[in-house]
Amino acid sequence: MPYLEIKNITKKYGSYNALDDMSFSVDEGSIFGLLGPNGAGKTTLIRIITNILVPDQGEVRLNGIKCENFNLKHLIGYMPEERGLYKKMKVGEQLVYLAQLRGMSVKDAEAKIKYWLDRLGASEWYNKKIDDLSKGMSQKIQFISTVMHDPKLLILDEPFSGLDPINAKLIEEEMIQLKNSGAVIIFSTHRLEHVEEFCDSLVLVNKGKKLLDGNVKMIQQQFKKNLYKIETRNALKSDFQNFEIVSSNEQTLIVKLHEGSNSNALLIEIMNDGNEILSFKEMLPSINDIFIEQVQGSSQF
Amino acid sequence: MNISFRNIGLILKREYLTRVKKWSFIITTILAPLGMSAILLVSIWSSSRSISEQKIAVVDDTHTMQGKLKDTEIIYFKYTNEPLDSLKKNYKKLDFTGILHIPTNYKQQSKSIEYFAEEQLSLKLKFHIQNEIDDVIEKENMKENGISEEQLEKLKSNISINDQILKEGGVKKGNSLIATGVGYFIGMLLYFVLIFYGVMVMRGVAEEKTNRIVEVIISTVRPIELMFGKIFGLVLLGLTQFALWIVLGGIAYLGIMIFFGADLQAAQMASMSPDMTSNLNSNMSEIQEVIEGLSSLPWLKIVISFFFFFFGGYMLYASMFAAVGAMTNEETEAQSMTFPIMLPIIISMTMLSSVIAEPNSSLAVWMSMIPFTSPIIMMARVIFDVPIWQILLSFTFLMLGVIFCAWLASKIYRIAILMYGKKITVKEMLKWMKY
Repeated sequence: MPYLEIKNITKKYGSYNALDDMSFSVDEGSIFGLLGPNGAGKTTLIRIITNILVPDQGEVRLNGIKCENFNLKHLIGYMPEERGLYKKMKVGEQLVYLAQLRGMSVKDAEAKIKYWLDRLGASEWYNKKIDDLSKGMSQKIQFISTVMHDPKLLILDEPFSGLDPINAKLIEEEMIQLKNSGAVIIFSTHRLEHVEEFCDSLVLVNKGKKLLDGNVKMIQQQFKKNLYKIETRNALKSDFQNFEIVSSNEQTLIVKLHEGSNSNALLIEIMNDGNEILSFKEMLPSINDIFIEQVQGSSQF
Repeated sequence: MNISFRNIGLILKREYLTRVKKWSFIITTILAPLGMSAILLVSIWSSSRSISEQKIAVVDDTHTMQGKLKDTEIIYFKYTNEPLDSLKKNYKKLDFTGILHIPTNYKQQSKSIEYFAEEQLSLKLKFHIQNEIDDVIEKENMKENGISEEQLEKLKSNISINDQILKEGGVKKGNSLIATGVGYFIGMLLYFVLIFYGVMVMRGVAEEKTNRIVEVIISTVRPIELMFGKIFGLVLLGLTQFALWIVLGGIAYLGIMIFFGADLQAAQMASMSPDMTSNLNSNMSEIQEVIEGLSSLPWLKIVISFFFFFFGGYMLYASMFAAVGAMTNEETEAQSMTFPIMLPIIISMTMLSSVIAEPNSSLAVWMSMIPFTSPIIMMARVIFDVPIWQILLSFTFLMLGVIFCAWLASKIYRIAILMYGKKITVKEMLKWMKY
């Protein structure tokens, strides 16, 4: 059952269509990629989910409940792309304040904050001002402020931007951990290699419209071009029935399967030729390739 | 729209507590009254300061003024027969501060009395010399017309008005000089606090925006809650500051009473029995007069009105400052937008002196009713005891202005706070009103 449902959302700024009839859903316990070029409407969509903006039409549902007027704010954790904290406030005070705004009591907040500071090895910062922390340290605090109230829906806008490799690794592990405990993570990014790495499913938006959505593996299958990478002992001859050679480099070839054929037929044909196969791999399109192809295709109109 | 008071309360608490605990707040609370008193004392001192000793060489071509210009404690006239030209060169060596030249035909328009010195003739000295010469000429003229000095004495009148304020149950001694001073003081104080706290709101909003924390905050609270939480948190800070000032003022007053109490009582006694006035320490009677003047003012009305008009004026300006804060992208950009907001405050300030001079003129009354100028102008008028109905009417108008401005500001605020890297035009702002 989907946890987050985006239903027919439309948002206009004057005559400009920021979002046009956007719909998709995200399952429980999954990481979901929200992808699109700059100005596609990602930020507007995130702001609608977090109730910062009100859509002109459509609705957001969390676990079947309509999300409006901050009624579900205790279930949502949001880390915007541009991070910020009150610089003159102490870490502990600041986190308690933000937790209270999410609806937590001071007592619960303090316990949770202590737990997270310990977990991320930052417990001695409780009484330090943000100003006195390094950038990496304040990024950890920012992350804690996003997850301290045990949100069921986590929205991370470019979570790895500006992170050093150690903190990036840490956030990565925490993301997987949260996903495994049943949270839904919306992950908005330009770094598309991250998408293949983490995301279970994704939506691709451009100019306020949905271009495609679904499971990452299935999307890759859908857009595959029947390309295979083959390494053989000896050079191949040039004429085959089941496939054609797209490019070759010594004994490594990229071949394209003909329509109606399959990979087994391809292998048999090479073996029958008396050549020895060293490696064989299907070449799936990267999300990056699909992204560029789709966005460019949609932009031509 | 259902506003969460819990959220406003949380925001208010943070705004208040993070600032009230700061050293800068404690220091300004203590130093501001000292600074204001210092400014006031310096201005009183400089206006009452007597000129330094003046020794004036008089070159009298008419030979009629000899011995007739009266010396004072610090101004001496010395008659000399030295020619003007040589005197101009060596008057300093002869220990003069300036030369007064009375030509023979000075009564004609073209020839006037001249004063030569290296320094600019001060106004006070100029008036003194003019008065003296006028006196001499007047007496001369009267003699020529056959009026004797005794006759003149009888003709002269020398009155001073002893102003009494009619009150239920008796009269109170008034002192318009003290009232004027207090009027300026309160006008200045409001001017400073309205700008000071308004700018504090603006900086707070701009800081949240440029810090980017605002995006996280408004994913949990409405922008209007954030804006009013901040505005109310800071007004509480301002009221705390005034309460502390009143307490500090009370302590200072008690201190004066304890240290000078006995002397003051003596002065009071003396002033009641006219025979003893000659023995009176004149300094003490001056202080006595100041205290009497101060106590004749309607303090209860002033203090209560001050809190209300500070609150109203602050709400009016702070909401506009908050909107400007939300529109800023960089610190420098805000500066140009604050000017139109500060203009009515500045206009109130420039009008202050004419309002104090004539607190019941139609200009003063009108300006004390218009919400943008009323906080400062009405407070200046309250010193001179304005009827209650006028104060209430003015406050009602002010609150209507507050509601309008706060509504307008919240519209601008909630959109502008999310806009980055784009200069906001007036046209766009007008469009937001419709949302």
